This record gives sequence, C-alpha cells and structure tokens, in this order.
Amino acid sequence: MQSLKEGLLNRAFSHIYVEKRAMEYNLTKEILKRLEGSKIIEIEHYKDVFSRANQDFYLQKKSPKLILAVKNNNLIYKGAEVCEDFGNKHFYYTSIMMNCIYDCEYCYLQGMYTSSNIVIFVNIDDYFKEVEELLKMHPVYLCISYDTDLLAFEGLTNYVREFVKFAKVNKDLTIEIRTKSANFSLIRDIEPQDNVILAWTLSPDGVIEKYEHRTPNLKRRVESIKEAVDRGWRVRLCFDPILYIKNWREEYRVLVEEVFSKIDADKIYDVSIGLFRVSKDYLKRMRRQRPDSIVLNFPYDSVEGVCSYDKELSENMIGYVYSLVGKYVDKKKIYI
Amino acid sequence: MIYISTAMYIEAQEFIKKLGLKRDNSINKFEVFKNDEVVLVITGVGKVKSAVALTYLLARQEITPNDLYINFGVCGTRDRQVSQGEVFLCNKIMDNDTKFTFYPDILFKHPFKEAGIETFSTVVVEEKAQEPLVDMEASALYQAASVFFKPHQIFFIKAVSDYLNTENIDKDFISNIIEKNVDKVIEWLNHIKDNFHYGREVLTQYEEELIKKVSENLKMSATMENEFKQLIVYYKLLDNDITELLNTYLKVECKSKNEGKMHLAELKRRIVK
Ligand code: SF4
Repeated sequence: MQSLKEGLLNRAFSHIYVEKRAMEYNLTKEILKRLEGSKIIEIEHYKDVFSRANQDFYLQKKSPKLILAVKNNNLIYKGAEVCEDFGNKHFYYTSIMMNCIYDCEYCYLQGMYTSSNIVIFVNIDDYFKEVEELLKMHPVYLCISYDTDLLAFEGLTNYVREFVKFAKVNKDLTIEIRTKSANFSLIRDIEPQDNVILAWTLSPDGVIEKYEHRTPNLKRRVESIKEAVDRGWRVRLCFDPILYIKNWREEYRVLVEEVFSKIDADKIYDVSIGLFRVSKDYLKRMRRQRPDSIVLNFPYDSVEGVCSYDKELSENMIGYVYSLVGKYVDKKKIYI
Repeated sequence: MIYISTAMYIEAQEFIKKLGLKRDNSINKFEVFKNDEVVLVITGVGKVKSAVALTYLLARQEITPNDLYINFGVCGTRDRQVSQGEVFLCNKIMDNDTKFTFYPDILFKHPFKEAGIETFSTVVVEEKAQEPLVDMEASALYQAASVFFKPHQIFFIKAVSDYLNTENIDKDFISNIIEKNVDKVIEWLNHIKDNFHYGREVLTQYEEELIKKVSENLKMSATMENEFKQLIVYYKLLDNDITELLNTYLKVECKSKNEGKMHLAELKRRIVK
C-alpha cells in the first residue's frame, strides 16, 4: 500500500504559523526561541491555515506544523451530555490547544478537525478571566485537556503549571488534566492541589503499540502515575477507550493487574471506564482519513448517531473490566 | 503524474528539453507538452489566463493522491538582499486585489529557500508589495489547483529575475536563470515521485467488483451494500482471505431484500466473533 521513505517529510514543527496579533505574547516569543530554526510564517487568522479545505490529516500528522494564535471568545464550553461529568453539575471544558502530538488511530479529533496541525492559543490570561466570571456564579469543574494532550506539551507551553497555579487561588474550581504522557517530571516540583485531578488514560501495551502511535508505553505512563500518586496528587485512571481487540479479556486483565501491582489502589482518586464511542459523522470522516485502520473499520452499531460496540458486546466488555478494577478499587469510585 | 505549469514558453523550454516532453497535439487551446510521467502546460500571463489553462488541463485528468502540481517561473522581489536567480518555494500566497491568503502545506523536504509571494493583476513597478516575492499568477493558480489537489500536493517554485523593474530584463537573462535551476527542480521532483506512494485503498478493483456482484445477488440496498463492504474491509484488514469469503456469497441468490439482510447479519456475527 503506502510507502513514505524515511526522511522524505519535514520534521515536526518545521514551520510555525503565527497570527500577527499573537506575536507580542511572551509565550509566542518563548516558543519561537525554543524552536529556533523553524520557519515562521505570519498569518492573519489561525483559521486561514487550520481550516483550509481538503487537508490531509493523516499526512500532516507525519509532519505537523504549529500554529500560534489568540482566541477572543467562546473560550470555555459547557460540557456535552455524552461527556462523563463525574457527578459535577457545572461541567465545562476548554480547548486552549487543538490537536495533539500523539497519533492515536481512534482519536475523534480526526473527525472533528480538518487539520492535524497543532494550534496553541497563547492568551491564557483571557481563559482565566472567563473562568473567573463563571466562578462568580457557581463552582466550576473544568477539563483543560480535552481536544489535546496538554501535559505532553508542557515542555513548550507550561500550561499545566499555569492552570495549577490558577486553581490554587480559585478553590471553587476543579480542573481535570487528561493525558497519555509520561511527563510528570515536568511538573514534579509543583505542590499538588486538592482541586486538580491528573487523569491518565491507560491501555494494554498491545493497544499502545498498534493504535496509540507515538505515545509513551504503559511502563512509562505507570511510572509517571506512581510518582504523582506518591507525591500526593489526585490521580484518575481512565480505562477508556476500551477496544475490542484479539484476546481482549487477556489483554485487559494483564493491564489492570499490571497497573495495580505498581500503584497503590487506595491512593487513586477514582477510575473511569468507557468503551470506544464516537459520533457517526466523525467516524465516517475518520475512516476516510485512515481507510486501512482496523479499529476504525470495526462494524460498530450506531444508536442515535453514536457508534460503539453492540449492546451485548458492550455489556460484556464493560462488565469484565469493571469486575477487574473492582478487585482493587472501591466500586463507589468507579465511573462507567 | 507530475503536472507543471509555466506562464511563458521561455520558462518551460528547459523542462521540455531535459524531460523530453512532446507536444500533445490533441489539445490545441493551450500548448501542452508531455511524456509518461509529466504534463506541462503553458498558461499565458495573468490570473485569469493561467487559472483557465490549468483548470482546462486538470479537468481532463484523473488526479490521484500520488500526483503533484508545480508552478514554475520567474518572479520579482522588493528585497534587494535577494540575489537574482535565487530560487524559492512559496509558503504563502497573497492575492493583492482581495488580500486573500493561501498556504500550500510544506510537508516535503526541499532544497530551496522559502518566502511568501504576492500576486498582482498588473505589472508591479512600485515597491508596494507586502510579501517578499511578486508575480502575476500564483493566487489564481493556487485556487484552480486546489480544486484538484490537496494543499501538500501544490508547489510554487519561483526564480527571482528582477527587483520590480521589469523593463530592463531581457530574454537571455531569464533563460539563463532558468537553465541554472531546472536541474535542481527536476532532481527534487524525481526524488518525491520515487519515494512517495500514497495509495491507501484496502480493496482492489477486482474485490470491489466482486462486492458489487454479491450485493446484487443478495438484493442489497445501497446502505446494506455499504455495510457489507465495511465488513469485508474489516475482515481483510484482519488478514483474512476475502476472495474465498466473497466466492461463497457469489453462489447465494436471494429473492428479497429481507433475505439479504439475514445474510448480512449472519456475516457480521461470523466476522465479529
Ligand atoms: S492522546 Fe488523545 S488527543 Fe492525542 S491523539 Fe491520542 S486520543 Fe487524540
């Protein structure tokens, strides 16, 4: 099928597109300094590059570019119904970055965005202001790493650090930082906060190798988690998305046993378990981007516009992983 | 296939010579030259002429994900630091009239410098351009090409001929600049062509035909056929022999859509289990 000779494509971030108005921000200057040698192209608006028609998401992943921009409104979104809200009434999320350096085959961003180039909005203070406005009305539960992996990017942005600092002085705010990275060392020196949850996505090594391209392996993720837990951070473990793969029972059993052999289950804040699920429209686009993906080409059932495994298989898979995790973690702390 | 456009013959002649392109006499509205791997069109100068010619050419072709489009030609610059004859790959294209901007995806490594180019409708004599390079076609050609190609398949390669004082440049000077650079461009194009094979379809033409046949036999609706195809793709990706599977279904003849549905459900159970 395809063949792309090594060395044919430019390295990641060979080009950085910078909005004129983003030029003045300190973060922009820092990033440009850090990525010296990249070509800088000045742009008017990030959408001029990000939202072009007919881009090749898959190829761009192999040579992703960076886009630095300023976002003015709609900085914080109300959580959608399909998102797990962990019992939080005022559930919000924010996309201070769009896209991710990892390349998971099942990633819904392939269906959501027309480009896999990475956008960083450099005006973090405006995000903080918008959260402060919400906090005047009610407590806020905010997911800050939804359409990206923020911790994976910490070396370039320091955004996790900034958000934790912000959470420290805003006790009515709870933030969740979802990640697959093994970058805990970059925030090791920060004092853990009760209102900050580090949520690690865990998958069997077979899944990581085959479908979560460029992500750290299980061992490295677990080491990061262990260090975070031992230092007193609130850590959520996400066995999500669970995939129907060959020998799935065995793969997930080994995963759960491995994780809890290294990490003290009593110190885990909570656990979330979920199956691969994605909107029908996204899946259609994802399949177009990756026509040869086994995960995406599974014959999913579609119920009310959401594609996932059929009822019987879903119950089987969730029930099984739930019972595995339930051996270690108090069931009240497991969210499905 | 590599598609090349130049505005003038003088910008094309070295490609024609070095690649051994032959005039395509089946096209008489524009000058088109080709061999088995390259098609070159001389579009004429200016936005409308160039876009029309390129569209005319591309609309008659079956463009694939492996194809590339290159616009090659001379351009002006307002930047006196740039030496005449220097070659650039354009990473930004601005239309001077509308101020619209276009960005080819620079995914492939290349040996050229990079710069933005601004396309004017008339010859630019003053140094009023915002982008370092100036020409009279790029913005229109980009829009025409992007109907057929993805942004990473589109390249604008420009050799600087003047500092926006066009009256002093003579033909020999332009020929000379082009002659000096064509080899580098050809070598780079060949490198991409030889190393970039981007067919990602799972099913062969033959398998697609078998699926069509089975779908007819099983009286499938269009939705059912899609579902069936999806199952077959999945089954093939799991490294199974789908010809054998399809051959068993080729022997089945259904009397109704409902009967077909039952077969489909059965197949799904078989494949997923
Ligand atoms: S880590 Fe998350 S955001 Fe990044 S590619 Fe994987 S699924 Fe997508």
